[in-house]
Amino acid sequence: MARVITQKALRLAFVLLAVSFLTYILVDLLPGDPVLQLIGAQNVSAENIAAIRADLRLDEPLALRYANWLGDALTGDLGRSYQSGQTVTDSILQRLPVTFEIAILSLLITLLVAIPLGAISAYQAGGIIDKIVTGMTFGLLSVPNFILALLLLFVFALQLDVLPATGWTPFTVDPVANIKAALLPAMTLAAANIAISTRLLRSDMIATLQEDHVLMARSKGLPTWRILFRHVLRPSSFSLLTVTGLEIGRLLGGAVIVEEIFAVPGVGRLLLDSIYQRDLVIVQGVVLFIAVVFVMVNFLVDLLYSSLDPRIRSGAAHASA
Amino acid sequence: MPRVPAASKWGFRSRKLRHGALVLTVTIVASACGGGNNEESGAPGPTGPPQEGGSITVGVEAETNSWLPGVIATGGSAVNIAQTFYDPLVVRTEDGKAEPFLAESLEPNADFTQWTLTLRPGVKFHDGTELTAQVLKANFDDYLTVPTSNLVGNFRGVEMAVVDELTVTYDLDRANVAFPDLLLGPAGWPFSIEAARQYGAEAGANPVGTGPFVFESWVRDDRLVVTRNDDYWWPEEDGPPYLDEIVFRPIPDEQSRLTSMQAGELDAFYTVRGNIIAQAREAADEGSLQIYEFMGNNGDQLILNTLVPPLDDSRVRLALGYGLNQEDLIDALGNAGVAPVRTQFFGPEDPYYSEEAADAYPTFDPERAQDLLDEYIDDEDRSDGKPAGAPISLDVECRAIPEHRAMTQVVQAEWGALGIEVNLSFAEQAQHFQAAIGSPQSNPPFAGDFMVKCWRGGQEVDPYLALARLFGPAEQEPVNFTNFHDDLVAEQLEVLRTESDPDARIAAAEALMLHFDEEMPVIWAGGTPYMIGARPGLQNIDGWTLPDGTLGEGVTGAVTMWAQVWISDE
Repeated sequence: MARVITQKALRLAFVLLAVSFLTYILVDLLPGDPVLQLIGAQNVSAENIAAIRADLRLDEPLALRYANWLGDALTGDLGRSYQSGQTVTDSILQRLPVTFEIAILSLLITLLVAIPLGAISAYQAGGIIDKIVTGMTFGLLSVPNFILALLLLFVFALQLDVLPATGWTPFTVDPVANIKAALLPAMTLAAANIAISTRLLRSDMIATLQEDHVLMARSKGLPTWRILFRHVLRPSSFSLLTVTGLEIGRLLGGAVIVEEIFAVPGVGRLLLDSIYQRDLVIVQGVVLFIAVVFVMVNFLVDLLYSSLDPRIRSGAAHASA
Repeated sequence: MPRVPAASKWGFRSRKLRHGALVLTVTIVASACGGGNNEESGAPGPTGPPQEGGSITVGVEAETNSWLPGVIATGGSAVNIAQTFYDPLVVRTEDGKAEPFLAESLEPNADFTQWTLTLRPGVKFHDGTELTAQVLKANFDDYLTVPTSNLVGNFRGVEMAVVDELTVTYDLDRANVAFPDLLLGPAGWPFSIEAARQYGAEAGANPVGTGPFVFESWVRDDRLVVTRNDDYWWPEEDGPPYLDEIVFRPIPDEQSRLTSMQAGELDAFYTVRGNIIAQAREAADEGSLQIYEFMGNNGDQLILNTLVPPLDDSRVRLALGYGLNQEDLIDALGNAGVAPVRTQFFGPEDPYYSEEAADAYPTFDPERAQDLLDEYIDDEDRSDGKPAGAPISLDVECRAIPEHRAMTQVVQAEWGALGIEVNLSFAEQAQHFQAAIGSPQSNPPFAGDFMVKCWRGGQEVDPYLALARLFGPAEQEPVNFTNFHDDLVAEQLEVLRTESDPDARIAAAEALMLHFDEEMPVIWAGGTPYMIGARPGLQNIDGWTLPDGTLGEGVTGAVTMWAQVWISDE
């Protein structure tokens, strides 16, 4: 097991290095000059552009800049924003709790809704409940999240007046207001995930329901809920786990549109604004952060597979023997 | 409460009383034109005397990068916020003149090559340090005019000298009648030099000014909080600031900002979108909102790069002007019923607005457009080098936003009807902006990398500042996006730079506008509407004054002086 983890960790490091290098090159190739963006139209002159380029060390060769940046990044220094002067690390850390909380809440909502719906749908495959759930999931999938966001705003903020339309309250300031502020963005993000997770779980559970151990459980007279959630859910949850892992990575990278609409100060808004402003240092830092999160989460998901399925553990043991 | 179109309500009435025949004429012309706001005057102003206390939350359009002058990227949102903790040295009064505000006086010498600024005595920054001439000089030398400053262009050819504890001179390398307007905005926001040095790279996140409110906290993309400055220097003891606290919240999505206002999460908000203004008008008619609209000199445009064939030929440019129906463009931009037709760099309320130029501006006339275009197309010596009879082709580049996409569909259809092949492309803001500037390697430098571009132009500043860089010599002015410049332009700009006689300046501005009508470097697509919406009970949003009681410019660009706003239950 230790060897497997080591191999995976080495692969992970290689992936991160490749991501950081490609990101650096791609961001550098973006049309638009960060210096022109910084200086403003009224002050453009060849001399000013050259002075600022030198000040930001943008006149150095790409390879040298990347090497310097990587060296600093390995020591935890991701640089300072061209536009604001704030350190990249501070910028990300300031926004991370917001994005993290919304992501976790969104996943909770997704799993709390998708697991029972998927299970019932699978158990009554072809029945009326299955048809209703199928219709609902296709409906959720076909509504773009910005439309859903505006709809939720209208219903919960304007008509019912139970949740705030926009803004953010930190948990440490007011826990209730914090949960209220996170609910609408989380619900919006959860909608499409609920649909995907429900569909995946339904099809996997239908297959598992045909297996012998389920027949055995039925013959023992176990209650339906116990069969579904104890004997069928666990072996059917691999696809769900994979998708959830990918989803965590995506959500922690920030959900740009949702953060814009609900005006929450998350990582997605930071990234979008930085791209618009050609604040390349921030873009590189945020992309690297997202890549690390994405790779780490999926690494953990890989490890979880083996705890869910003993066959993977024994397979690893055989491989190492 | 009926809606309150600030510029018309306060501006027109005051101008009639205070500024004589010229402004009266402008007023009558503007009223006769029936531009959006003017018909709606008569709404009540502030009720009762100012009341102290209370906290409000204001929704703005965007976050800013930094609060340090020289770094701050200013838009309406940033100025609304910054002028709570900074005081402007000068502001514009309701008749559009730049007058001292934090400064006690600003006087020119005889030939306008030196301006002497005297500060008010006893003014302190929020950190307790005093505002002195030396501080102003350190601001100027160490922050505003360094190569990395985004204000360095304001002060090209300007040096500052300290005369005494409260007096500095700005020494100019050539006369500039319009110099006070250069101090509007961040170039004229003094800040504590000690605090800036102490905070270093973080100075932009810790602004220390002399303003009516003290900067309290800032969570980027979430909120900025300012609290009442109890030691404010205002000459009257019971003067501003009246509020205890203001919370500014950047809410980038326009619809969400309006929804937040309707849900009661905001006390006021800011917008420059026609469709949001239209919705706010409905809310105002129902009495749930009071709105303060402003329509100034800014407008949507199509700018034409006059260095690129066939746009280097005025017949083609004029044909393009006659070939577009401005009403269709306004409609496509979502500004129908909100933004009036524009014809020049000055709105009908500006003293430099020219009725003659408005009448001369090309209006939709497809037949005339076709005649002009055919004349060019059939010309054996046409500038694009194509054989006579060959159709022309234009690249139109706009921002990747729904409004521009809709507008370019109109452009493609109406120019297409003239036989012009129109190629559309869209870019996000930075790329769009930078293509307009071009590169220092082009010939001339910064000639721009485009043919036709969607743009916005027109400023609430002196006409010299508004036009000099936009139409200065192309090889010297990167901001001359159209690259249009000729002897007449140079001559009239020189008048605007050196002549202080109002009549001579108005004549020069008119000559330029008439010239643009004939040369068509810019095609207008309607004015830019601005609006502040506020809940009933928020008083005096547009009635702010200078320390001597002179009425300020109201809600120009949807910016106000929040220090002079108060809450009333009436």
